[in-house]
Amino acid sequence: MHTSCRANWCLAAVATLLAGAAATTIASDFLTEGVDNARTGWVRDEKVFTTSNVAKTTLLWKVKLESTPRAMHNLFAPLVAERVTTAQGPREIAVVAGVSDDLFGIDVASGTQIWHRRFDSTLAEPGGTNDTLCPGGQTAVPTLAQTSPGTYTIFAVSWDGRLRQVNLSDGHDAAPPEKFIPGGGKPYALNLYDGVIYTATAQGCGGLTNAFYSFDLGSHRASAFIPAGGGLWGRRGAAIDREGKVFIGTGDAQFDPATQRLGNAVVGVKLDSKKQLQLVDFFGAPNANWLWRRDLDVNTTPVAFDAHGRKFLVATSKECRLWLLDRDALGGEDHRTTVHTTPLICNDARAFDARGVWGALSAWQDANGTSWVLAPFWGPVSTGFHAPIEHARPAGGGVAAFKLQPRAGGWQLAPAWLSRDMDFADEAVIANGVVFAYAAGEDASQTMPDKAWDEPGGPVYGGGLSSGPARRIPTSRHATLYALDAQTGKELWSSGNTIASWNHFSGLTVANGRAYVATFDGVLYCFGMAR
Amino acid sequence: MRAQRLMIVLLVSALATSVGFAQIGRTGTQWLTALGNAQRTSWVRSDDRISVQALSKPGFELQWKVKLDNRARGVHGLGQGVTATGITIFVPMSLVTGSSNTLYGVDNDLGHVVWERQFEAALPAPSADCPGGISAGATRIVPLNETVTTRPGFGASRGAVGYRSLLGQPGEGAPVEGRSGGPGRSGDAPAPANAGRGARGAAPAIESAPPKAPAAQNDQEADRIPGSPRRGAMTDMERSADAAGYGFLFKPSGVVYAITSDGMLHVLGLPSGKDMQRPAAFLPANARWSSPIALGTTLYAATVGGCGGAPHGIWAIDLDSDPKRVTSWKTGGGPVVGAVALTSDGTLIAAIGAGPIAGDGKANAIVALDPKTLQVKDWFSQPTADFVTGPTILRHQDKEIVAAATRDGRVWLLDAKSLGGANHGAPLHVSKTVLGTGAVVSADALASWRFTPPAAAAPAAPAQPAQTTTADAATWILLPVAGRLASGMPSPNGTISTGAVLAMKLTGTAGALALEPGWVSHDLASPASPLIVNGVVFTLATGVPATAGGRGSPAVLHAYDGATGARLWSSGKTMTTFASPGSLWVGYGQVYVGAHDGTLHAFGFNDERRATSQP
Repeated sequence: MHTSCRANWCLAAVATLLAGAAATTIASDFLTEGVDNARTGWVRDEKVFTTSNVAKTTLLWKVKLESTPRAMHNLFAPLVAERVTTAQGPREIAVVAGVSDDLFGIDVASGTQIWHRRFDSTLAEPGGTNDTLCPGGQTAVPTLAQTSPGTYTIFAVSWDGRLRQVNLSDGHDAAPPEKFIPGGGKPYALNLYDGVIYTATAQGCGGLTNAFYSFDLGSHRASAFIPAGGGLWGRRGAAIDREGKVFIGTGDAQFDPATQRLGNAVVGVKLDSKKQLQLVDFFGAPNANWLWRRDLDVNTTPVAFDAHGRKFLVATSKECRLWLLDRDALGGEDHRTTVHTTPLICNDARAFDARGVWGALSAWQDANGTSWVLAPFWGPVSTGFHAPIEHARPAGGGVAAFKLQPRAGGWQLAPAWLSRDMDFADEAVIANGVVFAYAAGEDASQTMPDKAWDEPGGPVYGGGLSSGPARRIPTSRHATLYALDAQTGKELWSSGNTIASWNHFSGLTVANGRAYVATFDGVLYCFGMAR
Repeated sequence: MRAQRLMIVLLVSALATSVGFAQIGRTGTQWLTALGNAQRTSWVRSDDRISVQALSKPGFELQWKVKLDNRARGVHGLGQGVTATGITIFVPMSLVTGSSNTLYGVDNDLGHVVWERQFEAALPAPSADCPGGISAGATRIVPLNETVTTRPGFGASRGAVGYRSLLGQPGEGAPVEGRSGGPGRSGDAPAPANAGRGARGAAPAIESAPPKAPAAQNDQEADRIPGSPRRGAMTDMERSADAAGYGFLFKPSGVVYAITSDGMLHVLGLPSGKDMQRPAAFLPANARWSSPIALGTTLYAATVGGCGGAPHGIWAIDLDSDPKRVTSWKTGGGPVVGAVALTSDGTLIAAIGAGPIAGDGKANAIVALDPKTLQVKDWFSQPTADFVTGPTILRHQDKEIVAAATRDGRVWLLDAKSLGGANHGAPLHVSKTVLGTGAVVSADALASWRFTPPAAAAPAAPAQPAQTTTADAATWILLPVAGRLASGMPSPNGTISTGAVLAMKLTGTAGALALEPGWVSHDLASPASPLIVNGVVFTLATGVPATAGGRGSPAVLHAYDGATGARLWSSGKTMTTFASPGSLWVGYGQVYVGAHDGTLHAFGFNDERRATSQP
């Protein structure tokens, strides 16, 4: 019976999923972290927010969810489907993942929780909650797929590594849980493409080897590609282009293709005919091994976009410069040559913590056909980085916008504007000419700071590793959501001090005139246009 | 409990994965004090980047330069830096004093000024003898064992097994690698046929555990910074990390010690430059002091020139007491010359120049002081021994020898265990003068090193000197000279008219030592004390003007095969002003030169530091 159901589902639904994946780019939904498979962060069909009215944005509601934090993690950015068929009629529903293996269904019109699901677990010895790097629990933002008109399935990976399929309308299982990745790991945001769920893991949490993972919904076969690097910890998970190539950066390890080690690199893989992930390409910056020595991981999800007949991929690292790459030949013949490399945007100190790009890059195209890339960053802007429009010389972080422009023999990412100062700018979403960005407000330092003998609480001899929550939570601040003019970076609106708490490794969602931010204290905020 | 232990293991594993497997910046060459070590040899025995072989090929070049805002006082600008690795885990750093009462923390990879401390104090007008301001470099705590100038690195890291692909069975999820029931790493096959460009060959063997960093091998108390609070017990995670060889990740970055013009000793945090301890009164204000050195819980410095009314003497301060106790010894005669050095048993050795003696004072002498009481234990003195360099302590065969040069250009060798014999006047050996008419010894320190041919080298040295010469094993003493050399000196690198570094080979046994000229550098303008890294001798033509107010000439750094004198490399016209006297040091595979105008230069191999993915 079970098998039959699954088979039926496969026969009927996989084809729908194909359409569903494509639909992520055309519906008024926000079905996956980063908006689409390519992780552009661009909500193409937003109609409610405009540059003219976004200044009238207000707090529509906030709701406290019964989610238990683990280390510095709690809620992730919601996913939203506009017209979900429910017993009460069609509703616009958001699903919010909580780190303690929770899913929450929220009616976004009212801000009320309509269902709550806590996953069971097959883990025999679940661990503690005091390590920021390996908090345990559910760490991957789920992904949604429309399986029929009004019906959506949530795909999620619980802490025990099983793939969950849950009905968005009521939180009930749409299919039984299935083994996917080894339990106890730290997977990142799921991506559904062509009937296959993709994720990537990092930090060796739970003893897992850091890898790309795929799960083919048709054959129920999972595959892993281990790049022999460090963690694959782009916030938006792996990006997937229109050809099914899957890209993400790797962390701490040597970059040495001769010995098949792809640390501190951008790696591309693709499923072969047996549904097994295989390496298709890779890029290592010319200073990849120096980046390794300084722990400047290639830590963000790259963005894939096409323009002027070219297939681009933009990636970055904690070092804080952008690499414009050609997806047909990552890094050229030697795998180490970019189409263009920007100047350093931030992190003059090349610090491994609290500096650099940690959130997510975004890309969009304006009505004139100009392609833009947005880089939210942490810490002070580089003294050597300048843009034609500068609203500040950010000290705590900000957003740098670039235009794709032709240059002799190729293309370049030319600085366009630099935003106001933000307290650790994390992610950006573009909606109808408005850039929504948010300051996470977290204490992102990972070493103990010195305190002089005559400072309160001093002396403290610093410099050692101190990434745990006990020190960082009390010194974290509050998140702030901003709306900027996408053409100029001018601030159009800000949430000010409305948000009480901060967040860590969460995200930002914008759909249908509403912008959502979830915070460490378990509160989901919804800002938007009063209706 | 079992679950807790498991969790700790997993957390440590995660830390190692996320941080520890980065190639931690706590590795490489250490230059902890002026002239490199307690023996003041300026010799770094091994280095994983600098070698005769490496410098025989192109690639050694200016990596970066940074203009520091120090204001020179007379010819004095930047001091000799000291290095620290692993600041905030990953940053290699130089700590550089500036004559205008400034201390800089500079990122050795980039030249980025991580922090700067400007110490407020009124400074008197500078004079040639009393420049004022900070007159010497900073120091860190130095081990007596001069071999500890290189710290081990992690080398190959996680991912030593190459990339690979796995496919699970339907309904079974992804294969579990490295866990019970899953394919082990050792069974990995070569890369798949479609592995892509750049893939070739089978994966290498499984990685071995990283070596324990020195700090991880010590207990809490041994690691304690003198004067700092005693730490509480380690947390479970710290203990587990320590056992796994990653305990050093949790340890503080440490401190650097600097004396400021007001005579105060500052204990500064390496990550921030903040005063970690209450500044302590140490030397008379506006004194001129020579290179301080810290050993164990005591820091030493010598005052010279009578500046600020300070007597000629040696000063010690107890770093672990509160308030910090100060002890001193006055020479009662000549000035202390150059830096004080320490023998392998911790005895303090100082050279005393010429001067009128009062009471049992010392002049034209080498003295041995008890490191705790600063009482004279032994001495050597001869009326003609007008020492102009501090002592350099070297080991030749089984004997520890004190070497120093006198104004007349002779190099004196003394038995460190009995400086002048029973009558305090008998050296082991005195060389002939090496100075031509009008020439002077141009810096206040010799340098010394020992060449060991590759065949005789220890097989497991941290980084094998890659010598290309066929020279015999030898102990070398290097002497910087301004002016012409005495006749009869070799001149393999051309005529010497303005100055040179003379390499002298020490031969013979204790009873019949001999110092013979070996090789001579190119003509160098006012050379600094050279330094030796893994068989490569770096000489710096400082270009310091011969007369006050002179313009001098741009500094030039040269590298020589230390065993043969063959020049390997020169900085040419890279530097545009003369160097600040003595502002030459090495760390993390780079050689640093501080120029009079405040520009700090780093020379080395690119090592991907500067690569930025062009275009």
